Amino acid sequence: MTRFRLATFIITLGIARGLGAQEDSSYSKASELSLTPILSMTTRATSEDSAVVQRATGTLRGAQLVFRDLAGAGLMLRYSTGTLSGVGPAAGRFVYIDGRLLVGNDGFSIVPGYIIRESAFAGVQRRMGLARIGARIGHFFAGSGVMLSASGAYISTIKKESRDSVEARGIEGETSLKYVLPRLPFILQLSYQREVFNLLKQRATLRREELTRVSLGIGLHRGLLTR
Amino acid sequence: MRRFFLMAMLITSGQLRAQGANDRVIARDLLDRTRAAYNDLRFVRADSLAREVLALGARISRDTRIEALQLLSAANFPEPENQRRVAAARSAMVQLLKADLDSGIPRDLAWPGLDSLFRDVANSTFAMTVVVRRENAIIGIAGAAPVRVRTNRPSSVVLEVRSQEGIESAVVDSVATATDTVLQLRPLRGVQPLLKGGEFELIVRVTDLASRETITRTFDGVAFVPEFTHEPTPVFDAGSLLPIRGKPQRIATAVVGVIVGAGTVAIGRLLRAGEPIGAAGDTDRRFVAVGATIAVGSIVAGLFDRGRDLNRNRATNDRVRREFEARLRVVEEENIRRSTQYRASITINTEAR
Repeated sequence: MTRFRLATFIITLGIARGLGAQEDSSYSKASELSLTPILSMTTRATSEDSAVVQRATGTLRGAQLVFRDLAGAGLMLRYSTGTLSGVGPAAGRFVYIDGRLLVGNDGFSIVPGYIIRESAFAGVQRRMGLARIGARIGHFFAGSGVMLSASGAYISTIKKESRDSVEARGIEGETSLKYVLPRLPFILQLSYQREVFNLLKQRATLRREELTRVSLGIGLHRGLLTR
Repeated sequence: MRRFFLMAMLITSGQLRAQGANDRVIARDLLDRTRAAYNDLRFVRADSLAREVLALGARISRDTRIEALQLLSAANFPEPENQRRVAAARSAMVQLLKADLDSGIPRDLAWPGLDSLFRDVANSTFAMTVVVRRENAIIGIAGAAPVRVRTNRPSSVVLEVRSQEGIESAVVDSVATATDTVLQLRPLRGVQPLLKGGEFELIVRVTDLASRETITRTFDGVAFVPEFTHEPTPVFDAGSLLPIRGKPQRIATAVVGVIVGAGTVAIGRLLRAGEPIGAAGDTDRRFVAVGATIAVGSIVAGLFDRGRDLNRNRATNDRVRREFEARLRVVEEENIRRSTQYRASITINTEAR
């Protein structure tokens, strides 16, 4: 119910933002392109039975590429990898490749995408493909260089894994603050991302996961107004 | 208009020339008789004849007047001591110096006593010399007729023009302190006429800075001063410029920052995995710090919000400025062309009244 409310809130706010978006003849925008190396301080909690919670932490390293056209539509690619330290299935090598389309404008976008997620499962390193559909709301305050956004998405495997019929479903929420430095092509980024995730087999839950990432990045951008 | 003035000058000068020739003959005759009387040591007679010459007043030339005053000075201070009238001699010398600072006692009349008296009078008399050019072609709006003024004491010098009727007058140049200076009689000041066409009086007024004694010399002149028409200089209307920054969005930035910060906390608190993870307490509490950072960072960054850079307006303003500067250049070049091609003329009677 809570998740439903959160999603409804984001979508309603986004539609309002989208409707409120208007063109202004006093300034022109350029296409936005940014490339930001990112460090993600990651906490992962997993539970494979109903009693034990195992935790792992670590820093994932990667990069994020964002392109937006004049209307605000575009794509985002995010790659991060690293090893999480801890005990049990939560620990181990973790790879996360996230591709998103941004369909909409600066204020509101519907965000379909695809995630490749690689982590230890059942004693082996396993790669899993997941589709996602979500929404993003945001606003760039060009006078101060502050870009704020919030997004939410539903994540799911498109079809069951062929070898063992495992499927995955989850939900993700993310907030982000970006700061564009005056007169310089640099952008600072701070984001908080929470992903809750279930691995299922024949409707039975094999594993629950809660992945939290606090990401910091300093990147280059082109096209954002630099005051 | 110019033809009219030239014709008027020709007619007037023709009549004056005839009258002046007659006066010159009379004055010359009187001066010759004065010199003869002086040479015959008839000093009283010489004094009387010299005064007759001076009595002709404005009808005699400056040179004739100076010669008469020189003879008058000499006739009243001859070598025979018993025939000297020192006061009268001094008075004549003062007038002589006032007529022309550079004048003196000519060699044929001079003797040591007379020279000594003249030096004494010169030391105690405030005097000046004014040299004007008769024909002055004015080329360009800054062109001028030079008027050289010399005095024997530091003085203030004022150059004034007055219409012949004396109705309009204007100071055209001045110097605060000088003993030898060249003032400029300009028909225009900038683009405004100082000197209207037609007859005028040129008045040179010098004032001894110590004694405040003033000497004035007046010259007659005729000016041909066409009107100078110039293109008015366009004035840039800063009010037509568009704003180059939008309104600062400090409050909106802070509000949205707080909302997103609160959203971060909401995600951290509410978006939890099912049991047992969700029931085991927070696996991560950094959402509080991140949410606070987003909120506070937005508020702080918003405080420095000077408004969005309105780059289209900026470009429009630049274009407006460029167009204005181009228009200004065209007008300035045209006005420079007109000002250098401007012509006027000033004719001044070199004989002061």
